[in-house]
Amino acid sequence: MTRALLEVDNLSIGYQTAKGMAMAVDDVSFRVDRGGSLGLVGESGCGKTTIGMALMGLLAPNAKILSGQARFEGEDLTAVSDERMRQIRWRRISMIFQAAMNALNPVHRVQDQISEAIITHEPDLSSHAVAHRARSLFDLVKIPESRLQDYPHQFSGGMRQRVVIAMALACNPSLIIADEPTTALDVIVQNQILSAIGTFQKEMNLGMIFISHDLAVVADVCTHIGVMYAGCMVEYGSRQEVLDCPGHPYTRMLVGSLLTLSDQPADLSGIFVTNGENGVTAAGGCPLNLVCPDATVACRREQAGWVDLTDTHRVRCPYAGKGR
Amino acid sequence: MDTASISPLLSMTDVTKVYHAGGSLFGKTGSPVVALDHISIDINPGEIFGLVGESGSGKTTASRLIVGLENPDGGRIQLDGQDIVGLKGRARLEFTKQVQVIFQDPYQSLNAHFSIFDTVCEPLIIHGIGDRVARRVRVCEALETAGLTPPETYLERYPHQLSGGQRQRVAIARAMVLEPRFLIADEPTSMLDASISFQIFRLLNRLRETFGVTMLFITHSLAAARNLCDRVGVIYRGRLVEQGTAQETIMHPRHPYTKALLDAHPRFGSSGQRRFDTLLQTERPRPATDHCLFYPRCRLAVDNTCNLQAPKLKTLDAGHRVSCYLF
Repeated sequence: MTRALLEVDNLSIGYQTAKGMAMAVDDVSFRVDRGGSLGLVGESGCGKTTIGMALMGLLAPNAKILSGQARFEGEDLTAVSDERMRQIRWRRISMIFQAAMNALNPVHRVQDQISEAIITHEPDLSSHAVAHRARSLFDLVKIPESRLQDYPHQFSGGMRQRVVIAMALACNPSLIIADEPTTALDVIVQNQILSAIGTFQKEMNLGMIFISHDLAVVADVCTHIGVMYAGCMVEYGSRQEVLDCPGHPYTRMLVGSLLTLSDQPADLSGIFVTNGENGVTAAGGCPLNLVCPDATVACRREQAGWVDLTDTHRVRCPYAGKGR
Repeated sequence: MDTASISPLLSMTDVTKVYHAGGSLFGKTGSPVVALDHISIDINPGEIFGLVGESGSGKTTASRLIVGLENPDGGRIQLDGQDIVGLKGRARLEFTKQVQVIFQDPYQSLNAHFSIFDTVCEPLIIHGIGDRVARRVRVCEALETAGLTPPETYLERYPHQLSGGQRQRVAIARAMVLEPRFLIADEPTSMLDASISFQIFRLLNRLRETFGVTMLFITHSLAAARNLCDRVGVIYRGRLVEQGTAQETIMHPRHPYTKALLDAHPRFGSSGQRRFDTLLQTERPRPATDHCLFYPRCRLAVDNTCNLQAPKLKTLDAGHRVSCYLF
C-alpha cells in the first residue's frame, strides 16, 4: 500500500462551553491518498467543518483537540508549533471556504490579489514568475487571462468562486480542503465549479477533502466517502460501495433521500428521518438510537464498534448489511 | 389529465415586469431590466406547478406579483377568474386569506422577537378569526400539520431555539393556519440540508394530498421539481422556454436550456447516463437585435435565425410547450 498523504487517527475535538465540553468530533479516522478525494457528508453541525479547521490549524480558541493524530506528509498536525503550522497552511494544505466568493477585496484588481497570495508565501519569486503563475492559475480554473485586470464586481458569483479556488491553489499545495464550495450557487454554475475542481485535482495530483451536506455533489467528485452524524463517522468506504450498498441506516436514509432524475419519482413517504437536532442524545449510546428503525436496547447502551463489510468499506453499526 | 376542461385556479396571462435600475453616482441611469417577459401560466386546482430556473431568471418576481407585493407592468393575473392586480381594502384582505407564501430563508422570514405561537397566530389576528381559545387550537393544529409535534412544546419557543428545518416548518404552519387555497413555496429548501429538504418535500406533498391545496413550487433544481410537481415551467431570463408535465419535461426535454439544466445535475445511479451537451463553454456576443435569450450560450443555435428574432412558444403535444426554433 502506498503511503497516505494524510492519515487521521481517532481524532476527537471538543468545544469548551459554559455547560462543559461539547464533543464536535468523536473518534474519527480516515486517510487521503495523493490524487484521491474523500467526501465528508453529514448535516450541519455534525463536525465536518471542525475537522477541516483542525487540519488547517484554524480552530476557534475554545476548541481543543482531545485525542488523536493527523499525520500529514509524516508530520503530526495536532502537535506542530504555530510557527510550523504557518508554513504548512496555504503552502502544503489549503482550503476553499463556503461562500468564499465574498472574500475577495472589492477595491483591488483580481490579479493583484492573487499575486499577493503568491508573494506572501514565496517572497523570493520574481515579479515575472508571479505574473506567469497567476496566468497559469487562471488557465487552470478556465477564466480567460484577459480578465486578470478586472475587479471582483465585474465577475459573476461562479467566476468569483473560481478566482478563490485559483488563490487556494496559488502555492502548489498537496492537500486541498473544500468546504461546501458550491453551496448557494446555481446548478449550472455548481456543475462548472465541480468540473473545475475535478480537473485541477487530477492534473495536480492533489489530495482533497470535500465537505458537503449534499451526497449528490460528493458522489460526483469523490473517490471515497465518509458519512458523519453528530460528530461520529458512521460509514466509510469507496464511492461505489457507499452509494450502491449503504450499510448504515443513516447512510441508507441519505441515499434514499437523494432526488434523482430517473424515470420513477422518489417515494415521498416511508424512510425514517432524523429530527434535525444534532448533538449527543444519550451518553455512550449510538447517536442515532432515537430515530433509527433498527435500534435495539444495545444501541441505547453503547455505540457499536466498526464492522468491516469489505477491506475498504466499514460501518459503525452492528446490524449493517443484515436484513432490510 | 385533460387540462383544457378544468378552469385554472391561478392564471397569469402575458405578465410583464420591468425594473428600472436607478441611476447611481457611478452607474448608467435607468437601464430597464426585464424580469418577466410576457409570461403565461395556468395552474389547475390541486396541482403542484414547478417553476424552474437559475437565479435572476424571474422566478421570485413571479411569486411577488402573484401575492401582490408588486404590480405587473402588463398582463393580468387572476385567481379563480377574478383579477387580483390592484386589489384594495376588504377584497385584498379576502384575497390574502386564500394565497400564502413560504419564503426561501427561514432564518430571515421569521420575526426573531415573536414566539412560535405569536408567529403562527398573527395571520388569525389580522383576519379576525376566532377568539383566544379557538386561535390556540388552530395554531396547535397548524403546527401539527407541519410536523412539529407535540405542538404545545413549541408554542413558547423562539426562532433561535429551532433548527433550520424546524423553522421552515413553522413558516409552513404560519402559511397553512389560514387554510389557504393557493400556496407559493419559493425555494423552501435551498437553505436546508439535503436530508431535511427531503422531509420538507414530503410535507408539502402531504399538504396537497390532505388539504387539496394548489401550489406554485419555485426551485432551481429539476430533480426537486421532478419528484414533487405535476407540471413544470422552465424559465430563462424572464421568458418561459418550456412547459409540460414533470415526467415529459424531464424525461424528454426539448429546449437546449432545459437540457443544460439536466446536464448540470449531479449524476449518479440511473440518472447519470444521459448527456445533451447543449451549453457553450465560451459565450457568443449578445446580438443587438431581438433574439432568443439563450442564443449566446446555446451550442445548437442556428445563425441568422436564433439571433434575429425570439422564438414563440409552440405547443407540441399533450400540453408540452417549447419556445425554440428547433421544434
